[in-house]
Amino acid sequence: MKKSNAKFESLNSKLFKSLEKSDLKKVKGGVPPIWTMAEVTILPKGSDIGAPAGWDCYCQ
Amino acid sequence: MRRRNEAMFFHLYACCVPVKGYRRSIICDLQRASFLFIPNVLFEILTIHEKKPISAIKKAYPKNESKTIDKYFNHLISHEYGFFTNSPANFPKMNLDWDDPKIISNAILDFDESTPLTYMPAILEQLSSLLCEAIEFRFFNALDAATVRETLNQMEGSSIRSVYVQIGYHPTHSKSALQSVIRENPRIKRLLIHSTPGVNHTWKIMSNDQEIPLIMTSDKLETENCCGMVSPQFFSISVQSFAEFTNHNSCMNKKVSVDRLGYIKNCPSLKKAYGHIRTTKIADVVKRPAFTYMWSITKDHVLVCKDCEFRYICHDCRAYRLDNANLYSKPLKCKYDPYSAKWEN
Repeated sequence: MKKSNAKFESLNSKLFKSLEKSDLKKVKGGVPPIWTMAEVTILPKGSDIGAPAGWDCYCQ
Repeated sequence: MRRRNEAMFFHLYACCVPVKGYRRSIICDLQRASFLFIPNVLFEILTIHEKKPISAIKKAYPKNESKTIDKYFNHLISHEYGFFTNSPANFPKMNLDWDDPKIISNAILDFDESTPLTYMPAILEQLSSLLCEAIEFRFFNALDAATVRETLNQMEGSSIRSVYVQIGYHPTHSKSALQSVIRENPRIKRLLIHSTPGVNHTWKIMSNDQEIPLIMTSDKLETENCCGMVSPQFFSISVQSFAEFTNHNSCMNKKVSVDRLGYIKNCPSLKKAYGHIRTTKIADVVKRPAFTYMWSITKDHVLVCKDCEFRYICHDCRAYRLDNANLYSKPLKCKYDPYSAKWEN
């Protein structure tokens, strides 16, 4: 990895906010790769999480 | 909750794993399938100083940053990424070693109007004997609902458990006909109809207590060039994928493909073929070191990606590269710059 200078930065900086809608815009013609079988699932805090994504086959 | 004192240690939950990037870092929550951005200095605190109590961590940095360090820890606590403890040794790290008994775990089978569907039983039998679990069928041409049903029924009794199907639009593709295809074949985990005459919609079809996406899109997915997209939409965050991505290639590992002409490849978009399905056994191809070479290229080996905070949750592409002459070049279709932490439009 290239060397970076770690410095104290405010957590309020835009850099540390969640991804923006524009970052998540639809990819034209894009389809997720096959094997994961799970697209991004961001569960709300405190959700009843059950099995993590991608573990369905081990739970049956 | 026990009151914090400076002699205590801050500890991340075992499922929360920090990953350093050039400009910023993330903590991947492998249980909740999410992540949190953090400054690189916090990554440093959580890794280099992880075995130190809070008081010792504060001593390692300028005195005027003590409050910031407290804010950082509070931020992690409020997002449920960690906790304070007097006995960090009681909370070992998660083992992220990775192994898989399947010789091949996933396959891509491409078809167009010239591909004989008669190859299918032999391919499925071979994949099944290699314990393949997931297949993506990509039909670049239109296929009527009855043929789709007949084709997918051939997986009966195979090792295949998950199937993504992508088909060109055909007038027989009514919502009810496609619903039946999904419900009759519980292996289908996603059905995508492309090249529709202006229909762009996604339904969630209930099948075997699971919501299966039925996607209709007017996008034309008529060649293998549609693959290789890198986007946050396609991030995978789980223990299983994280462990695999840190040890192997996130696209090629344990994958085999048969392109529309019947050639066996790592990926249909790659030029290199290892034989034709008519004359070559997939089992023989996967024994060849040249074929499995790319399985071990992790993001830590790929230029630019190795400096990216998303490298263990993102999917790689070795077919479409920024520099075609360099096998370790950044994926061409990735629009993220880890040095500025910005996505290009």
